[in-house]
Amino acid sequence: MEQALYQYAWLVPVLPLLGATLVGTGLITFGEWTSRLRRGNAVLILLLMGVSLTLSVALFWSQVLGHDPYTWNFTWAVAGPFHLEMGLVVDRLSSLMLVIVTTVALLVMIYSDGYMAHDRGYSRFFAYLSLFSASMLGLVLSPNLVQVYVFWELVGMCSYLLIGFWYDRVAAREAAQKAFVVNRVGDFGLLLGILGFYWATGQLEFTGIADRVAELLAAGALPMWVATGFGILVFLGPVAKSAQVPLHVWLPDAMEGPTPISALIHAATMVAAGVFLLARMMPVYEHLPVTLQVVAWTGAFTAFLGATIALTQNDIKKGLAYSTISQLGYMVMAMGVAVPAAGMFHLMTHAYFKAMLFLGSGSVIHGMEAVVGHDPIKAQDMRNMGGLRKYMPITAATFLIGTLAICGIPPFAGFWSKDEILHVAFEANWGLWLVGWLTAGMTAFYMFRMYLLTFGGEFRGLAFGPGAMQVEELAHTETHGHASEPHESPLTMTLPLVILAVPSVLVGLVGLPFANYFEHFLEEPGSALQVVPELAGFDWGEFLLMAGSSVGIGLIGITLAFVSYGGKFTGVEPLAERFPTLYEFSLNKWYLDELYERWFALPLRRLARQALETDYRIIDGLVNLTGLVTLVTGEVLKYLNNGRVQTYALVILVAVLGLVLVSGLS
Amino acid sequence: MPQLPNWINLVEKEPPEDLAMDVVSLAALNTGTIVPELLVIGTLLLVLLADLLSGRQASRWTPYLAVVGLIGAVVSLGFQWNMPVAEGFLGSFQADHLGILFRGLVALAGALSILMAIRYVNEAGSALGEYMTILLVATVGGMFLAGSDEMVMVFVALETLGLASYLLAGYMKRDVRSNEAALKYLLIGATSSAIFLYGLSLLYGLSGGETRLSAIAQQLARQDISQSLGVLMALVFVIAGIAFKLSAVPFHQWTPDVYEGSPTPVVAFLSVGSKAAGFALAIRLLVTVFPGATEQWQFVFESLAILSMVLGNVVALTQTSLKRLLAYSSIGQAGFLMIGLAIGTPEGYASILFYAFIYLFTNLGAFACVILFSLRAGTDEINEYAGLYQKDPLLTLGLSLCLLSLGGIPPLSGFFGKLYIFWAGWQAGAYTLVLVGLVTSVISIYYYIRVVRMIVVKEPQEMSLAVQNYPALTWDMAGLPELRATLIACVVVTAVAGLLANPLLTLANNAVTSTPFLQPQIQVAQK
Amino acid sequence: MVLQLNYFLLLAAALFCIGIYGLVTSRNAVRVLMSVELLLNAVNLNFLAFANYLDPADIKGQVFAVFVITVAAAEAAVGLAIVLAIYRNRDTIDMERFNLLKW
Repeated sequence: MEQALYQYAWLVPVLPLLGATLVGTGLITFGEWTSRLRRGNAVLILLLMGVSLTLSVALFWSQVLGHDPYTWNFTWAVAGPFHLEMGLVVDRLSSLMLVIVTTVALLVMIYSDGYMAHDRGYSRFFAYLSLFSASMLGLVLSPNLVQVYVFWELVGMCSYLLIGFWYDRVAAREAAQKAFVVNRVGDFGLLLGILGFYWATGQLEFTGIADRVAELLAAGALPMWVATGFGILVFLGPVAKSAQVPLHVWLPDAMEGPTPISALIHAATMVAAGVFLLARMMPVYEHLPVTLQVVAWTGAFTAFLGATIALTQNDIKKGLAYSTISQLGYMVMAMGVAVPAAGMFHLMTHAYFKAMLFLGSGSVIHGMEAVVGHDPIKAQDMRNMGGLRKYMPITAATFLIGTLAICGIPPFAGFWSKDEILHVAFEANWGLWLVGWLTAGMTAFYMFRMYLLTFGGEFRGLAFGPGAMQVEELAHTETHGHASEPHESPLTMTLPLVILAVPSVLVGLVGLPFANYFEHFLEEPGSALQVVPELAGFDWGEFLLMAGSSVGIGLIGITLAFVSYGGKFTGVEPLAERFPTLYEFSLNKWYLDELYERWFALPLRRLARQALETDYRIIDGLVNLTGLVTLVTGEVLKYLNNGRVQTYALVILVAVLGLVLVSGLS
Repeated sequence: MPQLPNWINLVEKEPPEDLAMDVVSLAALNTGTIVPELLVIGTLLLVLLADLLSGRQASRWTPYLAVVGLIGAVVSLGFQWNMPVAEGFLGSFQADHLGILFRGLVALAGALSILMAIRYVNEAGSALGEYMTILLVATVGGMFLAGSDEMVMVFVALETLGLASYLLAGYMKRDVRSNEAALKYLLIGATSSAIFLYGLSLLYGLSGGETRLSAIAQQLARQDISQSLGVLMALVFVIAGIAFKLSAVPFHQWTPDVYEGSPTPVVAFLSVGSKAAGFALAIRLLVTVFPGATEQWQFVFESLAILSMVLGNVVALTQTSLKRLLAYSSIGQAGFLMIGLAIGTPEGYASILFYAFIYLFTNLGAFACVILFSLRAGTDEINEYAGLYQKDPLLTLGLSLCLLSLGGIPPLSGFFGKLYIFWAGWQAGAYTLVLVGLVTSVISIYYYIRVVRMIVVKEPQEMSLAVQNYPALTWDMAGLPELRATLIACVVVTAVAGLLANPLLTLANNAVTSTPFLQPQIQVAQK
Repeated sequence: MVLQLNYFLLLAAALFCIGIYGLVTSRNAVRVLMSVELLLNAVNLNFLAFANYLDPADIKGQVFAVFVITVAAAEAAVGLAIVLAIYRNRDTIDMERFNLLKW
């Protein structure tokens, strides 16, 4: 029975792929007809996803019961000694990821039915969603680095497709392009890293690489700095995909995509792929302490930077995006101190509560659109909101749960996982802990600021929105709302919110510090889960100190938020009044975009222009003109084909004579 | 005793083995070896008869008959694969595994080109029945060519393929460009086959009157003249005839003109079927007859491969007509394929088979798109494709995938084809060839992407006139559903064949290792 | 005088060269086709000579020549048909004018 279950594990990614293929082919060949089906497509894709979910849960449960990890490989390509295998591996880590991805994906799909109900691209959207889920599941199941890379690119491609889903919006197109370019940097590093490890070890499987690296390092055959370099190159992939500094800039812009996408891809699953890869590579990284240091500090700095920027964002989705960056920083930091279980734990809790927060923000935007019209700038600006608790009770309640979870208030899920990370960070390096601790305070502040601006107080409409302060901001847009008050979203949208609220509250309980089922599950594979709560040997004092300090700073943040935003919002930011420089610094995202523009984009563009000018000036003689030379050669050579058949015959004869001479002489 | 020139030092021939051989029964001819070809011949006679008896009425179902016949031939080739390797017609025809795969490729190319052509030929107002008959004749010629092991048979098969192709090229007989293409093709084809034939006659004389390829090789070896000037002349003459079929530079000059002028479905067949047959002939003839001059013919093919890769890909950059671009691209692709020939290792031959299989579907898919576009927009100019994605998603997707696959972009199948060829080349130590191949395939990506960009990237206001006046997408005209089915099938294979590379490559490797005439080469490679 | 094989081969080679010359220089399309026939006849001469001197028992070369003649006839038929079609459309069979397709 169980063996049969594992033999059908390949269906998990294949079923969504099937759905995407069917709908996609339909859209391409019978476009009109297929898009008219709408719900039909959605139901098909939902059904297939449901089967995937069931299978994933079954696999997960079997792993919980202590089934051995299952690996299945087939030879994909052989070329002499080079042997490329593809396949799938179901172990505890991947089965856990399967469940996370499939549940969030299914709920997001249900939600999308409501959110995208009036969109022209409804069916296309579902096809993309399904394609993305398939790629993500394939990534999770990958047994080796090459397959990871293939699916890595696939999820990336889906991400660009979905960011640019509304391709008629300039901002969406530009955001997709930015995501593409930034991710290219990371993927290039990842590819180099993979090739490097293959060159050094001749292995592509994770454990294989780890064993060989250990051997080679021990034997001194591989210098430490080279291995460290490869490790950092591989880490570049997660840096881009999981939006770590300095490659985080694409994620906030990616919010131009439809909100369900932001929830699924840019909060819960794809951006976590980087963390997942780090967890998979952990056996290798364990031998590379310097790389781990880099990982840890990158994560810590990202957590801090994301939180500081999130403090002042007015766009609800951008705010959540920076919060995601910050939380991903936590996870990466946990990986950096070589405690993957803690990072994965936070990945799981974050997936649920952040998906819920994003879907909640989508619900808010959906409600706002009824008032301010279909303009993303206005509908997503928190200065236009306020008092939504009255109009959207379910959304408000679930959003509050999510907020409490991310702020780390016990017993919500985020408390346990964040506390775990802070704990392990403290054991590794108190500096890391300090950054994480400060960030936790800021997190509490900006999340409650967001909550209060959106749901607290009175509904403001366009009173303080964009344009209220600076008219030219919106000079060209006109308002065309069709209702005076926002409304609660339909059931298909609220239901996923309510369902996601459950894990957001409860899922943290599997990783209690004194009865850590989660850590046990991940770190001791192959044995049935039997955790005896180690209450006796547990250091309550230390726990209370750590937890108390982080809850304490969280409470301080919340209090500050209430003081600043609890009353009537006057349109003037309290922070902006008190710390104008810091406020501007944060609002402008540390001026990083401008910095990149000035230091990379502009010089590159200038270089390109100069190269172009040189092109024109000195046509011959420069090596980088090969392209032009090739073109010119082609232009010249093509006139050899003068259209006269007798010339052709002559050429043939001359060639024959020439060949006789050459081969006769040689 | 007539006086012989001193450069022929004839060794006494062995007496005829068995006088009973003179009277042969049908069973001894082993007719079973050509059952697939007989099926195609039967089909073409049926198509011809049906067309004669009920005229244009019949053209509703004869295409299906033709396709069923060709598929039947492929199926019977499958049966033949599992039977012990047999010699037919006293060794004139070899049903070995290498031949079987190449014959299958030719038959597949024929079937797909018929499906693509239905709408095109109807639109041009020409008769479909004759078109199919001639195409089937060409297919039979190609299939025989891939298996024949005797000079007379090689020549007749070559000319069957050739003459049918000339007719097909000129099939649009009211179109001056089609006329001109046919005339050029015929003249160059006739010249090349005359040179080829001259080479055969030299071989006949040098071997002291043998026409079977293996017997010639034995005689040449026994007289120890494998390196003599006469044999080298024969070698070069023979290569000239083959290189014409492969459109290898400098025997390529007819290719762009013929591709541009001929009806597009015909071009599709020529670019794939005719070339596959050419490669089959090249491998068999060179390996069997010239084992003593292996270095020389490998050197010749190395030069041809480099010239083809460079010239084909470089000149393709400057083309403005998509058909002409594909012509130069096919010259370049033939160059890549010739790497497998020039290195002469078993892996090389296997990678030729694998690449030819992928190239078949990719190139036919691209040509199906060209046909579809010219049916709807009436032009082949690349500029006229601008902005097409807004009007025709299927065509956009199909053409983009096929072109990117031709350019060798992973994970499309063309990438894997190139990968195996280059890998085989690298293993064999042909570094120059592989490097030239890599550089030129980078160049090739540039012009393929240019077309894709033209289709996909243009803003709505940059749309070309042809695309602005693009007709509504309808599929209910006779022949269009078949065209669409072919297109989708080709695109699907193009997209996924790379992922199924391993079984295909295993098949190709098995074919090479189990083919008798390649055994000496395999033994050399094993050392 | 004994007729040596070499004489035949030289004659055939000369014929072949004449054929090539005609093929490359003629302006009339029919003359070009005739030159192609010369090429094939040169080959035939080769085959016949070899068959006579080296293979008098099986005379495979003579058989080959018969095939070549047959194919040459077919080729001439196809060639003349194409020339006819081109003449109908363009009123000329001047090779110099047939360069619509180039570059």
